[in-house]
Parts: sequence; structure tokens; C-alpha cells
Amino acid sequence: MSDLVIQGLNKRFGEKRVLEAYSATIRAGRVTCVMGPSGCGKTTLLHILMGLEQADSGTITGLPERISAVFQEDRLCEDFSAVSNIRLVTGKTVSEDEIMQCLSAFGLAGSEQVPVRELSGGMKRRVAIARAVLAEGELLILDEPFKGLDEVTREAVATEMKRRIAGRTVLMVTHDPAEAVLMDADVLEMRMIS
Amino acid sequence: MISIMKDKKKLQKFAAVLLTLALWQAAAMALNQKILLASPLSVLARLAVIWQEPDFLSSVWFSFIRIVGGFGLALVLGVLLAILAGKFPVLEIFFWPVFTAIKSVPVASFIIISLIWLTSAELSIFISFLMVLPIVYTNVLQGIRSTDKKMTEMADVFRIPWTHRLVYIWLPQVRPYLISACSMSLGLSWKAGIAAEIIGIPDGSIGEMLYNAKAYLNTVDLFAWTVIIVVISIAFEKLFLALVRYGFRRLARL
Repeated sequence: MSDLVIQGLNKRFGEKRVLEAYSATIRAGRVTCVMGPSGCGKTTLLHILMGLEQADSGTITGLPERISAVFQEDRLCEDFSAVSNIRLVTGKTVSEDEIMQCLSAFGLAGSEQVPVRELSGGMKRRVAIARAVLAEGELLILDEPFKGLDEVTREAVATEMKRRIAGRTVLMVTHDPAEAVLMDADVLEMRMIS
Repeated sequence: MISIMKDKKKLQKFAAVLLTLALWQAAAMALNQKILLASPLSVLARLAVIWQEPDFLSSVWFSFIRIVGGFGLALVLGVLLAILAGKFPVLEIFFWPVFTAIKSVPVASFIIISLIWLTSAELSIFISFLMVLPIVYTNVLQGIRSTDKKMTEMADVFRIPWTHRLVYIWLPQVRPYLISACSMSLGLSWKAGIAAEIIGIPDGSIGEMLYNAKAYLNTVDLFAWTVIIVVISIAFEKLFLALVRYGFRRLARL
């Protein structure tokens, strides 16, 4: 995957301008943290990259075909197990053993076959992370991936995540500079439109 | 604790049934006119004999297969139409006058109109189909409409094929609406189907038995056949809903 180049991106919701002539370059094979105050358009930018929102104008080049994501909410199928949730996005490209190993590495050993609705908030978050990591996407979009995780778990998850996503292009939204350090990430500042 | 409370509730319900039966028996004894009001004991005595009669099983089967057939057809078509209307909103508008007409026209009108087109033996299938179709369609469409948009977005981002979306995202969200539709329409399909049989009087049906009981002023038979209809209807409803719930549970274990 080549660098992801965003040029002159504009987006409005009614009268509210969310992105105005926003430009940035996301380096391929690196983790880039997008940081900025609430309401500055971080999630909107991610949604545009994921194809969930249309930009009013501007260009994006280097966007790969396949993207995987951790959304702000977990967005898991609650009736199904962690393994089923992951298999839903990976299909047969990842074996059940690999899924089990990944879940275990994220501290979910013993909970792999439990319906997700029975898991705690932190466990659900880790299932969502495991799903994004195992999915085939060349670009990983992570919207506050460590939300709801305690400090110890966050560090353990970040270490495992870095190992598994090495060499992939990652764009991560966070409010916490410590998380950018934890992920050895480049930092991209976004400002409120005045 | 919960188990004790449930047992207590069951006991209270059982006591209520016994009290109703006692009041019914007292009213029948006070009236002392079998033609006007058959007593529960006489109905029970008739029920003990009726199932041994040669036509009993064939009559029950005749009505059962047609009413349940109509229900099944409506269930399948109602779900399909709701999926189509969910996918193409213009179809919802296109279907609207048809379903509004079905819901508001009295069932007796449909039965009489249908008798011109159909044989009396086919009537109960069509009428039970017609009564169930709008309920299933409306409920399932509502379920589809209430599908979490965020889950659909997740499926779009991960490019999940529609067959998997159906099983993992749509069906679990439509489940309560579908179960509610089945629960509402199962009893209705029996009521409407039997009403159609009483008007159409197909040979060898439960409807014919009820019609004959009325014609010969045999109130005990009328009550006995009514009890049989209620029992079959409730038993089928319980069995069917248990099967649906089992199916969804199996689905969750995929």
C-alpha cells in the first residue's frame, strides 16, 4: 500500500463546517494518531475514509480496497460468540486456531465461545480489536480503540496489537497522547475550524 | 425465589380456571337447559367419546393441514415481501393499499367473495393466509426498519456478504418482531380458518362439525368442538413458537 494522501477535504453537516480544506499524508506501513479536541472532525475524517460519509469536495489517493476498523462503539453481533464475530469478517482466510490464539493473546482465553452479550465492556472492546486485527484490511482505522480498557489491559493490548499490525498502515483516533506513545505512532493534529 | 413465585402464579392461574369452570357448571345447573348452555361436565363427557368417533381424526387433520398451510404460506410470503419492501421502499407504498384493505375489510366479506372463486375445501387455506399475511409483513418490515444502522455500516466496511448479514445481523434483530407476529397470527389463523369452514361447510372439516352441531341444536357438541379447536390452536402455537425459538438459538451457535 502507498501513502494515503488527503488533499483539500471539505465536509459540512447543514450549516456546520466540520472539515475545511483538510490535507494530510498518512505514511504507509506506519501507525498515525489523529489527535484534536472533540468536534474537530476526527470521526468524520475516518467515516469518509471508510466510505460511510461522502466528502463535499477534495481528493483522497492511495486508499486501499480493503479496510478494517474498530469503531467508536464495539458494533459486535451480540447473540454470537467472539469466534463467530471474527469469522464473520475474516471468512475462511483465517483458521479457527488462529482466531483462538489471537483472542487468547488479547486476554480472552475461555471466553471465545461465549455469546458476546455475556462479556464485559472491556472484553467486548478486545473482541472488536481482535476482529479488526485479523480482518484482511490493508488500512486499519481505529476510533478510540482503547476506550473502556484499564491502564494495565490497555498496555497489554497495545503491545499485542503492535506485534500483529506491524507493517500495516494504521490510522488511529485518540484523545490521549500516552496512547500515541504506546503505539509508537506519528501524530497528526486536527484543529477546530474557527 | 423466582421459581417459587412462578409456581405461585401457576397455582393462582389454575385456581382461576377451576373457579371459572365451577361458575360455568353452576350457571348450567341453574339454567338446566342443555340447548342454551351445556355444562362443563357434559362437555367433558362428550370429549371423552368424540375422539373415538371414526370421523374425528380425519376432520381434525382436514382443518389442521389447511389452516396451518395457509399460515405457513403467509409466513413465507410475508417475510419475503417485507424483505423486498425493506430493500426497495417504493414497494412499501405499492403494497400499502393492498394490506390496508386486507386489514380493514371484515373477514366474512372475504369469505363470501372467496367462495365465488374457490372451492369450499380451499377456502380455509386462503382465509387463514389472508389474515396472517399483513401481520407478518407489517411486523417483519418494522423489524427490518429498526435494524441498527451502525451494524449495517460495520458490514459495509468489512464487506460482509448479504447471506452472512442475513444470519448474523438482520435475523437476530428481526427475531422479536417475527416471534410477536407468529404469536399474534397463529390464534387468528385458526379463528378465521374455522369461520371460513362454517360458512363454506367443506365435507369432513371441523367447521362442518360445528355447523351440524348448530343446525341440530346440539350445544354439547358445539362446546366440545370449540374446546378441541382451542386446544389444537394453543398446542400448535406453543409447539411452533418453541421451534422458532430453538431455530434462533441454533443460529446463535453458528
